[in-house]
Amino acid sequence: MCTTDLRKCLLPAIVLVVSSLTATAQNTIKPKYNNSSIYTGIEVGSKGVKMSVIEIGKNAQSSGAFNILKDTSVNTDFISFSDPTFSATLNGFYGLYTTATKDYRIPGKRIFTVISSGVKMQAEKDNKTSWVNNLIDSFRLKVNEPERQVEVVSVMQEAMLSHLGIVPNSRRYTTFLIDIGSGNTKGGFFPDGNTNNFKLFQLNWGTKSTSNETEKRCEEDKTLPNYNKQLTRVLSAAENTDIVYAVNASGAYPLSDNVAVSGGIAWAIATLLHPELIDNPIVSVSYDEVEKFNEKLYKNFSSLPPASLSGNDSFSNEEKEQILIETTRVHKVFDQKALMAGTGLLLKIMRQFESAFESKQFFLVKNGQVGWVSAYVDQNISK
Amino acid sequence: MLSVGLVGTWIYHLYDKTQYSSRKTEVYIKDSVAVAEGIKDSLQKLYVSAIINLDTRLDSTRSSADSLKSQLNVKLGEIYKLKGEIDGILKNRGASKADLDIARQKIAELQQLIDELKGEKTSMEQEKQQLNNIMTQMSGEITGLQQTMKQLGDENKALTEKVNLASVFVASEVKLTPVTIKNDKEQETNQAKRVNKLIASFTVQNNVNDYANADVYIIVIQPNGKVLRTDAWESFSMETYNGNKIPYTRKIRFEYKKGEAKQMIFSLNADDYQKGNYTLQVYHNGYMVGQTVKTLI
Repeated sequence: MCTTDLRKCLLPAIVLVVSSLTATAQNTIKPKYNNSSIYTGIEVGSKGVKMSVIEIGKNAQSSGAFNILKDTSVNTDFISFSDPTFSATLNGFYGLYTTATKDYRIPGKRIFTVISSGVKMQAEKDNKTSWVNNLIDSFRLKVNEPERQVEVVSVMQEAMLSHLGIVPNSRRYTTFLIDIGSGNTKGGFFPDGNTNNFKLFQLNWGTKSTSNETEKRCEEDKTLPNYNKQLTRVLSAAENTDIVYAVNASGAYPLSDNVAVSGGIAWAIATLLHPELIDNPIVSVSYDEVEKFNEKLYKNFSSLPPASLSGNDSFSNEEKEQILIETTRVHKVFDQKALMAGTGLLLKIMRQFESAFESKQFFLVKNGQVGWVSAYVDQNISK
Repeated sequence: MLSVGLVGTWIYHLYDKTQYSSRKTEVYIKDSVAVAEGIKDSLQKLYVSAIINLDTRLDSTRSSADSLKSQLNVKLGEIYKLKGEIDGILKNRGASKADLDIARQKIAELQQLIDELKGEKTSMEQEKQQLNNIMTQMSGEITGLQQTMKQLGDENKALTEKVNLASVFVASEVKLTPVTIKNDKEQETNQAKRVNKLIASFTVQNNVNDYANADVYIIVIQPNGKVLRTDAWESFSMETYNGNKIPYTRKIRFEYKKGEAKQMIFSLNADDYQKGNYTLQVYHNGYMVGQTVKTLI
């Protein structure tokens, strides 16, 4: 009798324990390092809300290493500044914050919430700054944290935070960081040997805008040879009218030994060019190898499929799988023409730092988009 | 009756003799035309036969002597010219004996040309054969040369490899020491959770080359099979002797005088240390020149 009762009592308890363990296992984020801390950055951008859960090792600032554990986004098109897109953005913002706190169990003090410079610029341009403030207030109310800091960052802050987050201290004052986005390119460096002054660099050319301009010039002839021909013209014009001027005006050349490039195209090139460095967040490249890669994109694109890039005998099965997944992602995000446009733009920028007397060391940063979270963490720890 | 019969016989005899005599004259008159016609027919046959023969020979000549086409064309031009001239004479019904003599002479010329052509063809065939023989011989020589070149290439490759191998460093005393730091003092440990850093050391030497910039690559493979990276901005990939690209942990560049025993010692700081085997490999010029394994528990 007693045994039967005990069974009756124990069974639901066991089921409950097993269920809760399973649920925990599903939501747990598995860190890569033992002595690391997990932080989350949630950013409201022009296209939507993006959450990055990152792991920062104890040597992060000396080595510049951080590991992305989760990268999620919700497309909401906030910069349309309409009621439906406002609601969608607020729900996305709240949803991702709840996921971080409840599912991933990341404490609120380790979650950083910001509004991107792109949103700020568009809001100021359209006189919609109140929409941004409303979003922040509504979010604070919804998460029941009236004191929560939701910073609206400027282009300057964003570029500076990225530099602080991506570039290690040892290279802080010798590195020029450039972020090639889809519509523009921004970045900068610290010219005075301290972090008080940041020199901003901006260029109105990005991967998508270069590709769009080329497509426009192609008119009826949509063939690859014509695209290549028109791209050469678009890039030459961009170089002569904007790139040369922007780089010279920045004054980065004499002060920078290293040129680090982030953005989607940097991730794509690094992944396709050096699959053996799939685990490396930073990849060192030379001008010549990017130039050869650019030629290959046009003349021998078939040599770049995921299967052939992961086929090296020296890779372990795990590495092969990882390379296959990542290179497939690259091909989903960028088609041949977009890769040609982005690589061409990168080469034009790199060329400004190549000379017969001195060549800079070039780095491609794969996870540049979450660099600011790392900088926030550093600033937070300093406080 | 008998005398009438005898007289009749004599009359018939005389008549017949007269007829016979007169026919003989006619035959003589006929001779110049008939004989000419006969000669003409025989020449026509001879000519046709020569032309048929010529066409056959020309066809085979044409197909077998492309390279001498221009020379042949000159000859053929002469032949066709002669043919035309002979045709003209033979078609002329009123051709005189003199004309026919000319025709005969031209036919002889034509025959001579054909014979010459035949001779040339034979000589061409001989030349062709000779050329074929030379080509076969040369082809044999080329094959021989290619084999020699391949052999030399292989020997060169082997020698280059030997030189490369001779010029690579030999690494000795390769050590990987996990240490823990207690009261600012370093102590060796084999317990993963106590390790603060790894100290790698080795000595490199070669007696062949001086190096203004010798690059030695260090690869530390962790128990999980991944290459340890201590600085994301320093550790990239190197190319092995067989063209594979592999990631490395650290690159050391130094100046080297041949024969010198250069000792290297440096520490590596990882974010965490795992239980299992840590393999330290030393690479130079794409070759692994030293290796050691350390186990953490």
